[in-house]
Amino acid sequence: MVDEKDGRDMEVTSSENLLEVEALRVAFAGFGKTANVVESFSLSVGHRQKVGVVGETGCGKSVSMKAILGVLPERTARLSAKRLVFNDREIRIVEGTRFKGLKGGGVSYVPQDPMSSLNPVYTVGSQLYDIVRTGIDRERATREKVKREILEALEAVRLSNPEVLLRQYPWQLSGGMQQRILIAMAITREPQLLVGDEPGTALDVTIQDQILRLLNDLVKDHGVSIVIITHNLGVIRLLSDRVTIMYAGCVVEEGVTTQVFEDPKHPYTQGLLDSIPKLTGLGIAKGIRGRIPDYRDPPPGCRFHPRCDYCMTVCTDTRPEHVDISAAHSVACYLYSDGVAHEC
Amino acid sequence: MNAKILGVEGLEKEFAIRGRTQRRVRAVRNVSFELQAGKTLGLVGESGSGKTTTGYVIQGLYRPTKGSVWFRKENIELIQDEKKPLPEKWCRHIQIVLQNPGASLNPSRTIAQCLAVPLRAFGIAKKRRELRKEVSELLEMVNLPSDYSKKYPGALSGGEKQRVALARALCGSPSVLVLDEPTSALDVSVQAKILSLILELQHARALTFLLISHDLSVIRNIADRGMIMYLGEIVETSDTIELFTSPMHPYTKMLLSSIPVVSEGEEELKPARVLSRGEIPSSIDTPTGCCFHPRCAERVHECAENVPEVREVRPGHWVKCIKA
Repeated sequence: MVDEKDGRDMEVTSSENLLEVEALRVAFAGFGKTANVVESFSLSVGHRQKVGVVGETGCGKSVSMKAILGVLPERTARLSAKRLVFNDREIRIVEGTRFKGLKGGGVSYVPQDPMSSLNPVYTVGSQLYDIVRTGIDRERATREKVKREILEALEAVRLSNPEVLLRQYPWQLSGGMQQRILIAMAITREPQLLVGDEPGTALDVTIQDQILRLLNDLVKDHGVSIVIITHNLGVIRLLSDRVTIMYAGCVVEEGVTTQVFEDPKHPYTQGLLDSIPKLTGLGIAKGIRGRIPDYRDPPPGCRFHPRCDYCMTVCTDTRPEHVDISAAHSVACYLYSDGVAHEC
Repeated sequence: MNAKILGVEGLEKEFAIRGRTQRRVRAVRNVSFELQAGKTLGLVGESGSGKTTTGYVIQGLYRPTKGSVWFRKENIELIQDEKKPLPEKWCRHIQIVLQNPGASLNPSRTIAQCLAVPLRAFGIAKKRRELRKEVSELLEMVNLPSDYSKKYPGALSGGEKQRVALARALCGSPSVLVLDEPTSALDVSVQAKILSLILELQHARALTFLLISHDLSVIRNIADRGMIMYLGEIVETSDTIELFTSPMHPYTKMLLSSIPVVSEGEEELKPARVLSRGEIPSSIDTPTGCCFHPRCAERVHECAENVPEVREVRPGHWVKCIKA
């Protein structure tokens, strides 16, 4: 069934979650070789839930989320997914056709770098005006109505003195204010899901703290769900209900945030958590050896095995399935599969 | 061993603003500290607080507007006149590792060419064979295979680039290294490896570090002493452990309580929650009185009027706050 309104190929289904993604794959056609960047990405986000997606640079966090939103370059990106449900609608990704993704329809994206995401030659006001106007029906978009919506959004992100702010250029603002403007842009369309790509990571801890509190309040006051993409595990612990750990395009561990942080199972998660300098001052850990694989020729089996201290023969040829540790915690590692019960 | 190797006294650095205005950016204001030989001094603060400017002045990239910097007391003193070149000894003994290794390495030079520049300039190696030997020794020092000398920076990962930057800083066998956010551009798993390399080098070569960072957890684990900087001023100085267990300045408390940590155990080590508010003001129009008072949770009436004195509240623990 093709939706008349926006021409998207979708079916009505029912789901208790706002967003459900199962086995998303993203590949990029390159010069002669294809880069299989995302191998299997699954994510479910409930209503009013905060979900974190964590991994190092180049793990495919942003690519996965951008694929779902439909903002990857069409010429080179190849997508497929077993299942993609948003807001009780199943959206099919048909190979060879143009995938429009979820952009615009209830999902907003807050891009990574506030400085380079705003146009320096237009005022903040005109950039906000464009976004709000596109969202409202052309006929009903009176200047006052648009202005009112802009002011509401600026108030929601707690920017004071909006009248002055609207006449300023992005480069006249501090990093924290730019980040707030981006969040304001994202919430003008009253999205059900807000995807934040590294919110606050380019900023100082004090400002980051303010931005995280703001996002938390948006969930409370406006009832949005949030997906936070970040490499900063501390941010995830503060802000999310559930966390998804990614390595080289695969989800390696998923669960309730407190459980994953208290008892990390996957060797990669353990390594990541160990690597962070702690306030306890017990010295510097050794880090994780090696580096992220070349996606044109990723290692077979578990993609983490060349860097893993617990690598077994089975790891080198078959990709591990997710094993449930508890009802709210699963891990993709042979250390925990049936029969081979190992202690770490 | 408690020898002081380098000191800064009453350092001021101002920058003129282009145009007709008479106003100036006061990036560093009345900063004094000393580096103990073989130890690490951590310098923390938000961006715009003057950390990097301080580092640049010590290395000689900027000349101070006022105040003096001395190195090994009787030996050399930093000249303020920008037209006069720095003494060669200064350049050799005080080196800097810059923040972003991707931007500080020339992309069109191989690693060997890049390391050869300081080696030649310092007269350490002149002939090709000597250069090759020196380069491979330097690469070995930072745990890189010697065939990396023929690679270009573009072929290296972020961590490897930072290793090359470290090797370049070590060319002239310096005694003081200014580390300007050495790991802020790296992932945590790589950061851990670079930090342990830095510590190894310090032990092996008796290096003295000025570690500039905005990451307090890094300072906690690496530095022997910590300095907190706000709007060009040092607001608190103490031994690292004391600084983290009993912070006195409200700004230090705000910074500490803002760190996103990863375990309950660490959460307990943070001071009582101080909600961070406001942003660091511009260093052109600095607030009157205590420069932190507009953001301070504990401010009283006098804070807006009187500039607080720096006082030693406990041996070795200096705070610039009237309430401490």
